[in-house]
Amino acid sequence: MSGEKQPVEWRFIPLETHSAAMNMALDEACAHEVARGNVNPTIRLYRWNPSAVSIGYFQSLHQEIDLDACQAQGVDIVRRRTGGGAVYHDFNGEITYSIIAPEEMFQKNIVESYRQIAQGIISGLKTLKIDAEFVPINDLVVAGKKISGNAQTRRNGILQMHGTILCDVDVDKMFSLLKVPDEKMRGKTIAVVKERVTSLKQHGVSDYQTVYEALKHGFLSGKEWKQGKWTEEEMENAEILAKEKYGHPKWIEMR
Amino acid sequence: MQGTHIGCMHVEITHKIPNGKLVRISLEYDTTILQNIRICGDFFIHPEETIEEMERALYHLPVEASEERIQSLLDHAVSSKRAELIGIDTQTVAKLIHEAIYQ
Repeated sequence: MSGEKQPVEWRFIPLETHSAAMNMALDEACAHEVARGNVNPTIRLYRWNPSAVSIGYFQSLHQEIDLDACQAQGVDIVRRRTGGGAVYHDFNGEITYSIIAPEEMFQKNIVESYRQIAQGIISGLKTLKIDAEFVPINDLVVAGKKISGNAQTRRNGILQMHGTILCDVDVDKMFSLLKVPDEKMRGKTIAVVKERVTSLKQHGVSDYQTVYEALKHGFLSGKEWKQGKWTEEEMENAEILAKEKYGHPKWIEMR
Repeated sequence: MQGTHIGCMHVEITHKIPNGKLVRISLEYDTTILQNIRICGDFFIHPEETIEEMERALYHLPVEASEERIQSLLDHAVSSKRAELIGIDTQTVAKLIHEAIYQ
């Protein structure tokens, strides 16, 4: 016995689509099973149907979200268990990833671990000839404009980070669902965001499957991995969490 | 700033921390004590529930409390949870709360 650690084998959950509550519930249910050693560290790629707005753990629902507009447009609302800002997850406009693994596999410094995990996105986008760079605290930019936002939590020894990669962005639609800190400045705020946000489409990549394959490659290259699926325990826990936590007003309206 | 009813003031402050995140504080206070406080925003605190501890630490704080006193209560809540703050700091939060009460 050399005492050397076996290389970690990752589980990859291929692209799937769920409701907002179920997507957040799956992250948590998976983290629970990784913590118990029942499943391998996991990387998943997913989308949201219906389209949804997620808000950060610390955000005030009523300060951030136009609830009537979301209802009128059939857009779901969920509170994440991670901090960070409000994100509009358009079914056709973005891909979300989660990476769920023991904390000790990453840099102890939180911002450095963002940088470390962001490398997966950066190397994936590089295969599409798009140069992205990490900008602390938690963003990725292309030519100075934001293309990805990320958020992580660490609990029970498990790091869970999720983030979104913008494929096609509609800033006006996004702001029709969000409140702005100063309504008198709404027009200006939107104009500034349009200047500061970009998408893969604006860089010549518009095929969803291509983006998916690139991200999959970026996250998994250099890792031992196997394609997998959710265990029964994960699915059962996730369904309970989706109903009793992430889909419940008590959680959504917590702040 | 807006008054909710006589003797109880409700204040909301929004502040972008340079190189940090947006902090949005709502507070209610009467002539003597802070009644209610919510510290919201797009920052990160690990573990997350530390925020409730920080808010609890300021519950019924005398309105004449100094900025230093507010910060020390927040720091105590943070260290009791061995928490890590990213994009937000207790000094700024204490300053915002103090200014809000004295504005």
